[in-house]
Amino acid sequence: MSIFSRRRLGRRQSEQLLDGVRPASPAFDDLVGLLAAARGPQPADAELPGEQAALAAFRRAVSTAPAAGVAPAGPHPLEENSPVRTLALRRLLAVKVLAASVLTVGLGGVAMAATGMPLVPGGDHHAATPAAHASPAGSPSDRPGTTPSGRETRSGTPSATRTRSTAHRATHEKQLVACWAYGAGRSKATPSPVKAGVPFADLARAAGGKDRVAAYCAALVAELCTKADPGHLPGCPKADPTRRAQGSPSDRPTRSGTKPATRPAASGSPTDRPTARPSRSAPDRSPTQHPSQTRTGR
Amino acid sequence: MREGRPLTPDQTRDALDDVLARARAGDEAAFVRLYRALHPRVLRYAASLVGADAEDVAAEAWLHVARDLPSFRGDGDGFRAWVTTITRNRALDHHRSRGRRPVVLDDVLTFTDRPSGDDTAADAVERLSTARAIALVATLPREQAEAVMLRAVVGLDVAAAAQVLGKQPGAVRVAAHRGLKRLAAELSRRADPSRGRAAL
Repeated sequence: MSIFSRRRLGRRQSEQLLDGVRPASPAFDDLVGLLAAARGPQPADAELPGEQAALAAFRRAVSTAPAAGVAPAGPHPLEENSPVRTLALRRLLAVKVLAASVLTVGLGGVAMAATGMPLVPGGDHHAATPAAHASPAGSPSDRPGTTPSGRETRSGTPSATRTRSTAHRATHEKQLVACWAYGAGRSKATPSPVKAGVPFADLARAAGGKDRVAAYCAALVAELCTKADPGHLPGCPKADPTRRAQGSPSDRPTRSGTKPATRPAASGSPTDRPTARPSRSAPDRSPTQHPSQTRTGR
Repeated sequence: MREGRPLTPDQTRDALDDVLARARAGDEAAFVRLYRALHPRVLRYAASLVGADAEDVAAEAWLHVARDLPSFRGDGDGFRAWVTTITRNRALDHHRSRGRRPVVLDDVLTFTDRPSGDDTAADAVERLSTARAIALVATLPREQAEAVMLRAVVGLDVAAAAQVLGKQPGAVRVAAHRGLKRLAAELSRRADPSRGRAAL
């Protein structure tokens, strides 16, 4: 600490250093050097590692986005922007969900769906319809964090609220594919998270725990493979409508063996896009003030 | 004056806004520019959080960014904050799934975020010193380390950093300031580790 007496780093100098400006006093040259080293050299304008993969993802996004006739402005359902939803949209979805639940619940009528109850551990029993409904929705929970506003607000727990969006369908489909990829959720050994489209961690979080992944996946199967057009979901068991009605979908998606298509077309599915113009919630707010200097532009 | 920051703030800002607008419209070249401009920074930030797994984390983050870019609303600064936030979330996910471990970068991650062609001995040294510098910053309490990384390395201003971290700007200022003080003390204690090759 003696150092502080020798050279006192004031707030002002701190801000200068952080802004990449060398303070007048040479006393902090070592800090200047450290920060400069941390920043690293100005990158040359040439291809960087990972660039092609990112570009490929970008191409996919661009090619699917316009197609999303419904709501071109919609954020990718899976992602960071999705939290923003218009009230109207919510209502609309609520209606759909209600309708869906009525359909689903037909038999067992376990109205857990309404509660947004996530798949319970051991889940085979509950996984049934309702859960399938609600739970998946929760999954994206971690996403919101990503929004610019950015905190990891709703970490693990699935929030029922957000569940009802068809937008989550795409998310669920991705997760389903990830289920296959991870061998129905248990053996995470296989493909790398990125390849599975959804990191195992995300899947686990969506499920509410690693030990619930199997049940969660089962619910996804119940939810997605029996509805809509299972056709475009690789690995879905033959559509089996009955499964839905019964309280217990197999907890183990049959397909575990199936090879997961890495990146399910699902992600792109236009229909899912919520119309609202979500994205801006966060980004816009980003403090523009002074452009922290970046070497960005070039 | 400026260390390793060739563009003036204004240039940067305008350029970023412009490039962003084009990328959002589907221009691949523009997207590539965004990537090249921001990736090195978020990679370093990720490294301060997850060490040698930074490349995986950054790669995941970019996949998300690429996917959502067409629907992104906001300007260049917002974009930078957004990308950073996504990276942060992926890094925190990583922590959750594997447990937080000390950041060890020195020999593992050498920041190959440069064209492979221009690989000279000097570059290697540079990369290493970058890794060391980040590893040193990462020894700070996380709050301080993040504040320093976001401000000094990613290049976010206080408000943006606060947004990314979910804290008040004042708290970020204090954390960064404390972090720098610690670093200064640490530097005085050691023999100047990586008296950095300033970027320019």
